[in-house]
Amino acid sequence: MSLRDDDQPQRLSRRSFLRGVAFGAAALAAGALAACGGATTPPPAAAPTAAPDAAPAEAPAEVPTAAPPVTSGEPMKITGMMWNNSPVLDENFMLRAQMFNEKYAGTYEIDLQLMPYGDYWTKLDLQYAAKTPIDVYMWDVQAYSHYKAGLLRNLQDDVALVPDFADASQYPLEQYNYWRFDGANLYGVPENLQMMALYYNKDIFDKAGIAYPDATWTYDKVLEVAKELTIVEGDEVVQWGFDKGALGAWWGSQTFGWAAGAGYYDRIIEPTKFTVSDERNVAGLQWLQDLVYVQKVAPDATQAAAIAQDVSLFQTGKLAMVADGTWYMSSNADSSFQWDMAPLPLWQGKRVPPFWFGGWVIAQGSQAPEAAVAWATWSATEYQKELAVNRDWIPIRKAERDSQEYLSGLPSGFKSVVDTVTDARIGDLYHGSAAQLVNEIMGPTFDQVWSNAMTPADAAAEIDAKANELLAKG
Amino acid sequence: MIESNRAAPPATSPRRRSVRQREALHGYVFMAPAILGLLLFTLGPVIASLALSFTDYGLLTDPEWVGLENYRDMIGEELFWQALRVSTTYSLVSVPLGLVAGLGLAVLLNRRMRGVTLFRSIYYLPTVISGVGVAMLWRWLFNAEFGIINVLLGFIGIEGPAWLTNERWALPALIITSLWGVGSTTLIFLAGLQGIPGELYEAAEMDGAGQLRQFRHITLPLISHVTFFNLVLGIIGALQVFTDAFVITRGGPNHATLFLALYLYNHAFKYLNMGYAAAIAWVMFIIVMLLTLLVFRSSALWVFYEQERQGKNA
Amino acid sequence: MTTQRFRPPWWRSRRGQDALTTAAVRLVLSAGAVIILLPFFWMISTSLKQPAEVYLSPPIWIPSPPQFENYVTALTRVRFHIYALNTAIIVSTVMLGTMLSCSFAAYGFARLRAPGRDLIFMLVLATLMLPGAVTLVPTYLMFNAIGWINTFLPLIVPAYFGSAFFIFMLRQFYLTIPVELEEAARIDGAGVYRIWWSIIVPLSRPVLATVAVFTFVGTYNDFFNPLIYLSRDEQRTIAVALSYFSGSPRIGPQMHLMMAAVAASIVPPMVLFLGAQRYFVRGIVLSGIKG
Repeated sequence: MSLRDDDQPQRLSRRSFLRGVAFGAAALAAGALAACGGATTPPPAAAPTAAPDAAPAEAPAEVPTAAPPVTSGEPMKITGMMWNNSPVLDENFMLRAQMFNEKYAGTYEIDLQLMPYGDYWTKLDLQYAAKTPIDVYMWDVQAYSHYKAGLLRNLQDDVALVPDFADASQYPLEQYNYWRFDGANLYGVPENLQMMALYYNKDIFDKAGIAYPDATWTYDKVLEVAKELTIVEGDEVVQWGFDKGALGAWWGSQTFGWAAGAGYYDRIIEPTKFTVSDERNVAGLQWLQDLVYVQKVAPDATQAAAIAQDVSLFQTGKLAMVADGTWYMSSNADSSFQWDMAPLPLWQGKRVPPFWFGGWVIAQGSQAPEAAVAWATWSATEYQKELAVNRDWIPIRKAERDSQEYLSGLPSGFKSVVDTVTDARIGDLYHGSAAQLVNEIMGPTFDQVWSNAMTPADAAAEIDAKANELLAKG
Repeated sequence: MIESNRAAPPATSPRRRSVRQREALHGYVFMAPAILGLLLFTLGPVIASLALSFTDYGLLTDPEWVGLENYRDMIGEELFWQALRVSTTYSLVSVPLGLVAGLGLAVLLNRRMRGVTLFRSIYYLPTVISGVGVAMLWRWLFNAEFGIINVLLGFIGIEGPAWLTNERWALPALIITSLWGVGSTTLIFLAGLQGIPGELYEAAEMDGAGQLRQFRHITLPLISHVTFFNLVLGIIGALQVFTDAFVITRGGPNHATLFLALYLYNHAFKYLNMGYAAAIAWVMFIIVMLLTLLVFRSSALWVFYEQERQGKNA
Repeated sequence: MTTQRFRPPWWRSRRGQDALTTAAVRLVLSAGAVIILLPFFWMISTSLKQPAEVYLSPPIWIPSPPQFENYVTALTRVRFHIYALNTAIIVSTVMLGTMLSCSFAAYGFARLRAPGRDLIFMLVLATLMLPGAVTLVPTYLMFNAIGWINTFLPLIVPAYFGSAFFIFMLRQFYLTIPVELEEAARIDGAGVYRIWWSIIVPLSRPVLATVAVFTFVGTYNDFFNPLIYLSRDEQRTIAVALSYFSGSPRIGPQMHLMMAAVAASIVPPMVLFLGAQRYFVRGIVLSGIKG
């Protein structure tokens, strides 16, 4: 064991990657030197010649950033980063970079790099530490610490130059406020959406002669049907009615509190107080816990172990309903049974599901912010078509999201799920200590609720105490 | 002097100053790669990490001197103590188990018999899978519902626990994982066993010593330099175990597998408390250093090098 | 073999005892081998399944028909040939550097008396005791400052300056080599460098073979360093490519492809191990010299 373990500390500190240096050396030798030597400098007028806009009149809404700025000679080079998802999705990202480079040939050029998810953040942070940041990269909640450190570019003015982005019928602009971290300015350009849904096994419903779930279903109805669909043979359950699935995550169970008018913290951006122990929150947690230990329609902690790991009970065909994210569709694509999806059920007559944005943020220290902005806005406009064709990410623009071409390849309930985005709230928590709040406090404590080692009320009180202590520390 | 029994030319031979100096000079030349490597690649980062342990440093902003604050915080952190407990428990169990299993296997695999090559390959096999690959595999194997381990336990009528999601069983699961990779320890022992002259066993046999006595009085002493190596590296390695916990359990459930190295990693790269992480690292360093020195000190009592065997044989 | 005067019962005879012990050893080893191999069986089995078969309960042990094309898919969906070439370059140069530098340095630490030697040795060993996570940032910044990022240099060059693990290991073995051998050579007029090269190195073949195997496996499987120091896909190594199948927080892993890729990736180190086996059988101490 010595060798293997001994090796690990080195390779283990896993994380990420680098990018900026290569680009600097290749393209802007002078700029790179400046970048290496100096502190995070505000974006210098890297290419003053770049005229940021002038959409030809006849250009349809498709051409957002306008005719490429006129430059002489070398294109403006940037580095971009995304995390690995799977070989197919990865390849689509590389193709996207190729399309971009072809479209803006001679003007902009992106060098897009993919990193495994965990290492993605390390690489970004290391590049920031080296003062040679990646120009543009995919947002996830970790990037909020980049914003907090003043490292993200304020995109408010850049986005204002793209007429499309003012169209509230195409983009869920209300929701964009979640990415106005300072309350006024946008710091990311959303390009795709993720939602939560109720997945159901059609074969099981057909066999029992029960109508499929739809947008009118309440959690009471779910429980009632789950009881009917739970089959016990001897002392063994051979088919489960319902599993909380992703509702077991903190951002999942919060939907109950939201629907009832509460929530786990006072606000999403820079919360000052945790309020998990509000009885409206606890009621939802209690309902979820009772599914297992009182109603006995959901697998207990031992059986749920199969779900918490790489495998999900739903995929075995022995579970009638489960709540999970839209990303779960790809895992189910190869199932041996028929399945479909419906919006999350109503709780006390309301539905406030969580949703997430996928999108791009740009380093404040980028040497070529125009090119980075072009990448982000092009991704959110013209490239949306390709997202729809590939069906790998849910396009943020409604035209593509609702297009027949896109929907025809998806489960029939998909549209009703994504349409709930207007009632949704972002399932994130924007705070400098968010990772610690989730990892050390909420995660382990909620796990004890699901294993019946704690009552929801006790767990909620414990989370509030610990979280508020951490928040007080600053 | 860390070891009393340095194997140098017999002290009895008279040596003149110049000879000593020449030997020392050659010695430095031989050590040069290691010394240069230390100076060029490791010493700088090591000193930097020590300095960072006295700062508030989040990678994204410049470090800020905070004196002993990180160390003070650590003492008050419940999770630090939990991590220390986990790592200590793991080391106390897995290091001796690994040594015993590794040596036992090596002795068996050292036997002259047909097919031994095949067995050696099989036992070494687990160590050639990459850390991430093996961890993914185990996560799969320990799966409560589909994993082969519980399926097999089911055959003999035992309902296996939800290994990785059960607070009590997660750490034992990781210890089992570590034992599966005992092949490298075995290989080092095997190389050591190969160095024991067969004559010694033959002589012992003539004296009527049984296999057990031969093992105790020949194998154990003559392999002790390898045992020493495996023990020291085992301690260093066990306290730094990371990949398995990182990939298989992510420190859970409820911090039951929160190894020190994982706790450190979380602070360094997840919570961006690099200064605090550096402080943890230096505390770990001191613990490992003390343990290692202890083992080195004790080695005079149980590790035998060449010149002593000569003395015995003579 | 000693000749025996009287014939005890077969099982009491030396030969009989030997045979019985061998049989017992075989039995124990076989039982252990089954335990060791089961996970591999599971891995191969999974690698031959259709996606829908991966998640069945009770599980399918032997997929039918086996999906051998999973291997083709795994090895072609990512650019394995490029990763293999990169891996070969890195692994071979690292092996050469490690074996030379460590064997050389270890001889100094084992045999030659010099003031401060043990202190230096302890310092070298101490570098193993500090978790890599905290030296990563300074190290990365250092390599970044000298322009080594996106080159193989951070992965290869340090190997030529010794590795504490292997220096320690080789030192332990050198300490057991009989001093008379060197004394004899010295009397014949050989200098220390020649003694190292023509006596110590050949005598330590089993350990060097071990070092070779460990270095190969360690470098071959190194996931983190190539990932962090090499950003271009065309510079990546096999170990990094394995992670391409492991999914992300939102996209589950493709277990059947992942297992196929892992199974394929263990072939080269196993081939090397089999090749190195013949060096394990000869003892450090040649029989006869010690008589």
